[in-house]
Amino acid sequence: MAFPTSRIGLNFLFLLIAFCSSPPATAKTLTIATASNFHSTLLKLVESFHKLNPSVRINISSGSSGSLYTRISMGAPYDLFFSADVDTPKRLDGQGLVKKNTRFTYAYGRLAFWAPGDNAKISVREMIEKHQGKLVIANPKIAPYGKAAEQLLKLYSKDSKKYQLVVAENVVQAHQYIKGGSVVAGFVSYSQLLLRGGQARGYIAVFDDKQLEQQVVLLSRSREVELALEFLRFIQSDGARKIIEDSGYRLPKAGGDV
Amino acid sequence: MFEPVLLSLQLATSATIILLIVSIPLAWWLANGSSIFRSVVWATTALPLVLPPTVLGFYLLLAFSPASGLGKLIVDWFGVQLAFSFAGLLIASVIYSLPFVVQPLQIGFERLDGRTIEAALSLRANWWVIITRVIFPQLKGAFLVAFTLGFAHTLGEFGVVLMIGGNIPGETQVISIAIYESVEMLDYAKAHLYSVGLLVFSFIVLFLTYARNSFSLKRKGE
Repeated sequence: MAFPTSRIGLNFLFLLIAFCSSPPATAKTLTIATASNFHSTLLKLVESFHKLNPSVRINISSGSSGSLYTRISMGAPYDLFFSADVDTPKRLDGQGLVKKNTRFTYAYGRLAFWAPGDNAKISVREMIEKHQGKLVIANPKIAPYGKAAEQLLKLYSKDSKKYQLVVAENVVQAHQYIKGGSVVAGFVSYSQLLLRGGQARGYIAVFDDKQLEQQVVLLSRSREVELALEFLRFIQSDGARKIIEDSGYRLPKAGGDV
Repeated sequence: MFEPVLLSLQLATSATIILLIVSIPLAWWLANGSSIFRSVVWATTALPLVLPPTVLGFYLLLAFSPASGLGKLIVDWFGVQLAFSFAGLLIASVIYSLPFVVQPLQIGFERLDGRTIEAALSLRANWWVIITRVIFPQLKGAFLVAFTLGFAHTLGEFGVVLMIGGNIPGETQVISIAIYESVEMLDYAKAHLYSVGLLVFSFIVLFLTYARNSFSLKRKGE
């Protein structure tokens, strides 16, 4: 009785060992870290890049710029980093974690205030007052969009305790809280309100005096420098620039330096 | 699409195999000793039960990072970087799931009836026969529970993986992380697919384990 059971067990073990051996390595893989606001746009860019380079595999990790900064300084194996600000790439550059002359501005992000369930025709300031009881922002300590939102609120009121803020991990999560209905209003990136064709419903205000300059860098630990440079050249091409603009960003001047 | 699933299964399988190898001697020793040192080791292996995963994640991140002394040493000696890699996740999973494998085995060893072994010895049975015919049948249930819990717990890991894995598809993006990311990206269809799959799979595994155990208990009772 015991014998067949143990043989099955043994076979199972062999199967497991065979199964555990690592998957075959793909030819060329580019790993990109992106600030979460740019994730959906980057997916479109990657799709278009794939048409030119079908054999290349591209992995994307998204998060707040601050949390990605921590991962990169801890040795995360990313090739490119699309930040939502200038400070973070600059800091990495200062630490020698960036390949020389690869830091440049790829887009200007736009901070937006969104209240999907409200169509009142009033100014943003009144709108924010109206919803001061529960507003969501991205974590200002690690997310540039959250920081910009916080600065804006400080301009509106010296009393920092006045607004009850729900703090999301990053700007995509902030958007998700509003969209899911758990928070009525808050600050997101304008590009998120343009997803799936048209503009999202409800009250939208864009703060164009509060543009977020967003920079990209090629990280010095990259093992796919050629491919990474090719991708950087690609995102400066006319086709790519149109994708970025259509996704709700403003563009830097044409004619990059990479 | 199925990459996170495959990666999770690989991680859970490898971790469980390592865990069983490590836990058998450890649980045996814990079941049969009674020194203060044993209590120290017992408490240490049980720590992942009570600590939030962020504590383990935080210290492993510091230890594994090439920016740290230990992390650099590992890179220099073995040429592997543990932070943000599959190997690092594997080590973290082994630590994190340790109590789930050690404790059922320890209970099994403690309940082992010494008289049956003595009886077998007095009949001059050799050790191979004693292990396969006397000890193992008494421990089958404990092994099954240890294997299942170790596997299922590793599969359900999230906090540690998020902190030291860095969400890299094909390397550290296991199923729990893939769910988190799909929810963040408002891709609810994908999140549902992964979540329902994991839910059903976990239920079936646990059901089979417990059903088998209660049936075998019943049979013994008859």
